[in-house]
Amino acid sequence: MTNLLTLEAEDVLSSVDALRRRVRSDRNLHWLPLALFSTLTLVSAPLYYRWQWSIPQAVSCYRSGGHYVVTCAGYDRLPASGILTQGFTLNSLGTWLSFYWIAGLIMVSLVIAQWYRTRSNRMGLRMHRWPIVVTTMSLLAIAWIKSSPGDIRPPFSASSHVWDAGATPLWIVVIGLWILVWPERSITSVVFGVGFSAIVWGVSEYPAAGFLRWDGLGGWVTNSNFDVYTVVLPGIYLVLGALFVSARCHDQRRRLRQRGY
Amino acid sequence: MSDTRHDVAEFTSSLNDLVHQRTRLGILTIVQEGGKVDFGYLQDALGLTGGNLSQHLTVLQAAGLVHIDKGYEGKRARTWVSKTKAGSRALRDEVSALKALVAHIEGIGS
Repeated sequence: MTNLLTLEAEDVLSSVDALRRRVRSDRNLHWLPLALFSTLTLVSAPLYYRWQWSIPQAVSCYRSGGHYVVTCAGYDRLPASGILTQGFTLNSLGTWLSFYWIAGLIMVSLVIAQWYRTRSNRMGLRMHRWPIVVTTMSLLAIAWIKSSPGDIRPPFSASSHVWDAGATPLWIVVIGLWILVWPERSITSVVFGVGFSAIVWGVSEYPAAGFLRWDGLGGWVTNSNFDVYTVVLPGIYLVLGALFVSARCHDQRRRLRQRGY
Repeated sequence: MSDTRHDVAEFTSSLNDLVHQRTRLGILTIVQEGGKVDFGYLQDALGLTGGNLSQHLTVLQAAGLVHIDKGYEGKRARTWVSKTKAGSRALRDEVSALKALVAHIEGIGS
């Protein structure tokens, strides 16, 4: 009698657990936001490149000791030519790059919202899709207002009063990913979020030259406190995260299907 | 022996008949995890017919354990099922009671 009771209770508990896993697995749509954010981040990397040919021979830059001060002779003679370099100065990320991030972040957040809407309608699990859009827009607005106290200027410039290390867009991605942790409700996304936050904090606090004792690639420095690896490292982490989450989700669904759920 | 039976009876009496039914426990579990869940999703996940699922939902709704919301999305009629506070509590209590029962019986066996 007691054995039968145990078996029945264990069986019910196991069914409850399997159903819980199935719902969580169905809600697991994290891989696409990760893939989109990683694309946005990695595609931005070449834009940080200050083309050598566009800089007159008279301009020479060097780092000063272990501090990330780039001093340039002939700085004022830098041409503002070329679509990638337009508006670039050695001390700011530049207008063009700012608009790349603004447009990119808005577009990615809208695509993510649409993705959650389509998938939740198709599956029959309602998920909130607006928090990511509202958060991204609000953060962009805050960054914009903070960076232009007196006049209208694009955000993320070195003169910004907040996050002036040039990592503002990455912090917006960090917050966006944390917003997406809620609908996911998985330990993996929490662990991933912690790791990504740590990486972004690391690259914005300790640029390559100091952290890795590496002086960066010639020309790959656009900001006194910003190296191209600042976007490459988080971008690679996001790609790996997207691949891992996608593979794990696929594996979970396969196992649940095998068990008849 | 009679003491053991008495103990087990005490644990089984803590199970809620309304929720203990396997399908209803499944509905509450899915709704708890999923937030707002479509009727079709529940049907597919639990392998039930529409009529059967409707009956269970009616019982749970009458007991105030789920909330049912009928509406349209475009031209498509949809029924969304969501949890209530009482439903979440009932599920938590039921799962705790089942776990306690298993732990107790395993304790007797060892």
